[in-house]
Amino acid sequence: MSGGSQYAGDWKVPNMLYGRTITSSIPHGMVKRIDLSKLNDLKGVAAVITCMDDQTIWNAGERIHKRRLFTDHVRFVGDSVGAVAATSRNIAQEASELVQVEYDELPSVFTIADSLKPDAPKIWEDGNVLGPHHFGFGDVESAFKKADLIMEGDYTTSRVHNSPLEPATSLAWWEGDKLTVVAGSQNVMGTRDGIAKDLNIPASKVRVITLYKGGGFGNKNNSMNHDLMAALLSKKTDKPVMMEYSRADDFTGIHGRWSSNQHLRVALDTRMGKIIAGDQTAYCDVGGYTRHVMSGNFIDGAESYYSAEAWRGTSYAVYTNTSATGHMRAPTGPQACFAAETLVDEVAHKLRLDPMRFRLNNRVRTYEGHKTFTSNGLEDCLIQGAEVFGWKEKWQRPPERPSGKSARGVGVAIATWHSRYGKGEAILVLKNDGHVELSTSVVDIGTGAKTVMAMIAADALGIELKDISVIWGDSDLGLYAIGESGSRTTNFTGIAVKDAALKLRSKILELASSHFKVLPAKLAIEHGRVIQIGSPGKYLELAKLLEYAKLDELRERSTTEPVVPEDQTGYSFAAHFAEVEVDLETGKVSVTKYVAAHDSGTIINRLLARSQVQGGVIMGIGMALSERLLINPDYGMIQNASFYTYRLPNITSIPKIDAVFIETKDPFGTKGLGELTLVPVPAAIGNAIFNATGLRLRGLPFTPEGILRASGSLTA
Amino acid sequence: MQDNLIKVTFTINGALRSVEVESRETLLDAIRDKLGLVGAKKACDEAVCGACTVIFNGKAVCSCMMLAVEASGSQLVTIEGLKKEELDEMQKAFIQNDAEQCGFCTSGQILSAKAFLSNLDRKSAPLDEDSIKEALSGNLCRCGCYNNIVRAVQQVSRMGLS
Amino acid sequence: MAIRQFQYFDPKSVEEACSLLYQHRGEARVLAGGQSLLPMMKLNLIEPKYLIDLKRIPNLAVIRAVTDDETGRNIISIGALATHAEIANSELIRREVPLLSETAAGIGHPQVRNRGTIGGSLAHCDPAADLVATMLALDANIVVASHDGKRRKVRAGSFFKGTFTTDLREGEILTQIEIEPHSNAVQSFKKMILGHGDFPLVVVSTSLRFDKGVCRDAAIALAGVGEVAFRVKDAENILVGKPEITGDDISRAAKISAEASKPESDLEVSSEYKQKMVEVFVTRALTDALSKRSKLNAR
Repeated sequence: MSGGSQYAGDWKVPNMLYGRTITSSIPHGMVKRIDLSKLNDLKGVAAVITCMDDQTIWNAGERIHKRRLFTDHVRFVGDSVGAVAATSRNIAQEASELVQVEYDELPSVFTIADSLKPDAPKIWEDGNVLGPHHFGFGDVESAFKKADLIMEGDYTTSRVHNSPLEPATSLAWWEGDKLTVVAGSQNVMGTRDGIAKDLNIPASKVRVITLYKGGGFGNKNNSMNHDLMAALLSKKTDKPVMMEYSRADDFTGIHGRWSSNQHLRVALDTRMGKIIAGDQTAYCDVGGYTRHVMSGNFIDGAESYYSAEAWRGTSYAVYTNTSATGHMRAPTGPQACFAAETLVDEVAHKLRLDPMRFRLNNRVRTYEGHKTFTSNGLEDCLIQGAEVFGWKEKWQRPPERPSGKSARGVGVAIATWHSRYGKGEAILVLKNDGHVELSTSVVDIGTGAKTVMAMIAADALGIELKDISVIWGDSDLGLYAIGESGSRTTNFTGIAVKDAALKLRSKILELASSHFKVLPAKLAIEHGRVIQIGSPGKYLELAKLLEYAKLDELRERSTTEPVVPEDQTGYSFAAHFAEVEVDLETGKVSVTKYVAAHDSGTIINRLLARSQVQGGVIMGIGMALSERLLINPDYGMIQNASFYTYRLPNITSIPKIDAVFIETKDPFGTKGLGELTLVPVPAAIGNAIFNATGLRLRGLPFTPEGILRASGSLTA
Repeated sequence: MQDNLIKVTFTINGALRSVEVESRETLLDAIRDKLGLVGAKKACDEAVCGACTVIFNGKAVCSCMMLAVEASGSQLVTIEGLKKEELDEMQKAFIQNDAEQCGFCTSGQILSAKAFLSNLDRKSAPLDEDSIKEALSGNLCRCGCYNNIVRAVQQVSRMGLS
Repeated sequence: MAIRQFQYFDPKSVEEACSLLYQHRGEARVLAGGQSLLPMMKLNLIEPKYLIDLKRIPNLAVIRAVTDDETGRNIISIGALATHAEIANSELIRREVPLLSETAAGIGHPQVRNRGTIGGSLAHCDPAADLVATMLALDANIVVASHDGKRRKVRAGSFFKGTFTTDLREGEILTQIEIEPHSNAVQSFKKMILGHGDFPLVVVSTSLRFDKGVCRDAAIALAGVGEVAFRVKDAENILVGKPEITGDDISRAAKISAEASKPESDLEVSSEYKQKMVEVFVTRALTDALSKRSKLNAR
């Protein structure tokens, strides 16, 4: 905020060198020879490492197969074959361009269709397809037999990119055999463990520091290849090395979200207006490498939106010779939601029902028909969200076809997201000046996680927020945290923080009871003082308590692994409402109003939660209207690796976004929020476009040209 | 020519400073690497995102798209120049309105906003939401703080300060 | 990519600048605001060995009303180094040449407008340049200084020759733009951009002059849909001589403009869409211009 905060690229250490990757200029081939001779004329080059002399495996770089940090089998334009370190970034850049690589070029494929052909070149030894991966529940075949109407459609979502404002950056140095890496990491422990494994050194010899991070949205989880490159170059040069990715490198070399080609069928009982079952299949273009490690599915989520008696989901990951893919905010979610919520909207239209009412009637009640949700606020999300939005006043049946110069319409979409509970750790220390220190491994990537943790502790302890400071972002604390992803931070670590705070509170009251000469039950902590309940004059400052007890500090550590009973499951819920205006002459869509209603259990910090909603909705508007990686059909390279042409939402195109929080009483308090805020956005906008124009668009993004084509305004 | 460094002098955050730069060095690299003022960020390096914004002779500019030599004799203000004993009004408003998440774009947003308000001819120019948005249209935010940023700027503008 | 090494000059006079430019011809580039040149240097699309910065030359950014020495008429003179922001904020230009005011106000985003200059933009001559279209619509005069001390004026219609190609010869620098304000004119600038601050897909710059209630002169200039900006004479001729310009006239002019455009398809948009946008935006620009007609003094 005032410029003092230290992002990885802000660090400056003595003798620091600058590193750049050496990348492939062809989409598919084997490295035959690397010629470094041109570097001889360039002063300031400190070291070069290539696939010819390094075998390091980047384990987090690919889910199934072994991915070399510097590959000799290049799988996309931009794949790393080496790295160079030099005394200035200009020299490092020039050096990376002077390295001459000779390839045995192989045939390449850039589309799912081509990659699936029997004679397609093999991107991996065992073929180009992962899967099928199945998810769902119930007997889909017999459920479909009950239907009196089956509706289906094909839906596509594009390759989009995390595109955090801070490009990939890592700084590394060695002190003896101890490695320190300053990384923009969402997960310091995971990064530390990953680097240790890849470099084959003990985890105790690796320290990862992340103080501030300029966004990630899923692509700064665990260890990144630039961390390893910095470490190896530093080892070779015996100097600190700052590895910096340019914006173009970040687009090309750091993963984005995979695309999906889906087919979805739903079985309906039209008399009751009920969704009986769904059958969803997806083929996903995952590029040359997939870094997706969760769930196993490449789309999911929609199986838990509705009270269907069965849902079958099948996903395939198809490799192509294009940039890698991996996690981006709700990795499997918006793709599945787009298909499901668009088809459901088509169903409502066909049955001549209000799409909001149709969803209300069909919303999920029990998980997969047999488990109860720890809490389920989907009904209120729909009802209250609709009211705040003005759904009843705004919704009308859509026109048969668009007419006039512009049109307005409204759309709704729902979504759910798993809210798992897991391991968290926290240490709380009361110091002898009355101040409290909280240590967790939570990294502040912008969701205000630090603040939330502090609020949880302060509240449970009975002290002021100003008297607590959070120590974070350093793996040498040795604490475990799943990292800032999956919307779970508040859950896992929050539960541990609360537990530690309550335990510390007990300890304090135990200690105080001998001073006050009453039972601990007669004491409380308020505003940083121990007070005797009912006796206003009797209190003791926490600092004084330690002084009397002759203690330097009171410390409490907590590790919690809350267990959800077998017959229950934790899910967050959302209902989003969008209003759009479509310029029918240009096809441009503006979102004019947006309401996002969310059930994430107890909201601890309303300001931060609202900001999470803003973030997800805006990212969703980008995914819906303007963002997609344009992949060259001849070389498979990303053509728009720039903010000029990869169109992030601009402040001038964003409406007011209202958040409505349905605070259900969940036994575990807080459920995830951050990822779900993105999931229903593209579907809500697409449904609004349909409502405005009568044009049903089944592919993301909804480009101006796409809309004109759909309306028949373009002749060919 | 290869090793020829040029001495460039300017006033930055009120102090007269000099740097020695290659002619090809951008103002952004010079202030970050040579003066240690790391508040301005390199996020795109092509003058689209505005994370590198500094105030140059009273106007907001992208420091990544200026050579350091072009700044000779100029008055520069970076985010570090705003913090005095207390936070600047705009910085306070940003905090109060949660106009910052990851913080990477924040310095650029604040400086664009301050330059906008200080150059505003209040009598003739309206201070509606659209004009604030246009003023900040050269500052991208991936975390989605736009609405909160607009509120923060409106808050400051209502105080009559700039 | 790294900007290649170069030698930097900051001459103190136009003569000195032209002389340096001529001396290092073929290897030198002029630096004005840098918002067009530096991006290309960062991508290594341009690799000059010498850079000649004009910003130390006094009086190159002056905006003022003067009398044309040849015709004796009032003209607006704009120094080459006037920034887009300065032009957009100029009361004089807003009053006398509103088309230019409107054009400059929409270029890029605020930070770009605070650095980018009219001279730099015109000398660069990007096929999609907003200002090039507007210079054509205004039939501006481009003033050029040469290393041999001579000065010449080139009409906009002869100055912009092709993609990144103007009539500037070795050792020449664009120093001013002279515009004779269109009296009794209605003007409009419209462009189609897919993302804020992006290069436009289509630019339409139009000025319609009326005399005794009849459209005496019509300028319809397009950019972004050909190798260089151009005027659509056939569309203009539809409007000239008419006392009333109807929706039908506008429609025909728009269709002719679309047919005259030769945009290329790219990965994002097809040439067909771009052509359609020419039709849409010419219609919008002409409609907008004509909506201002009631404010004209009938003469």
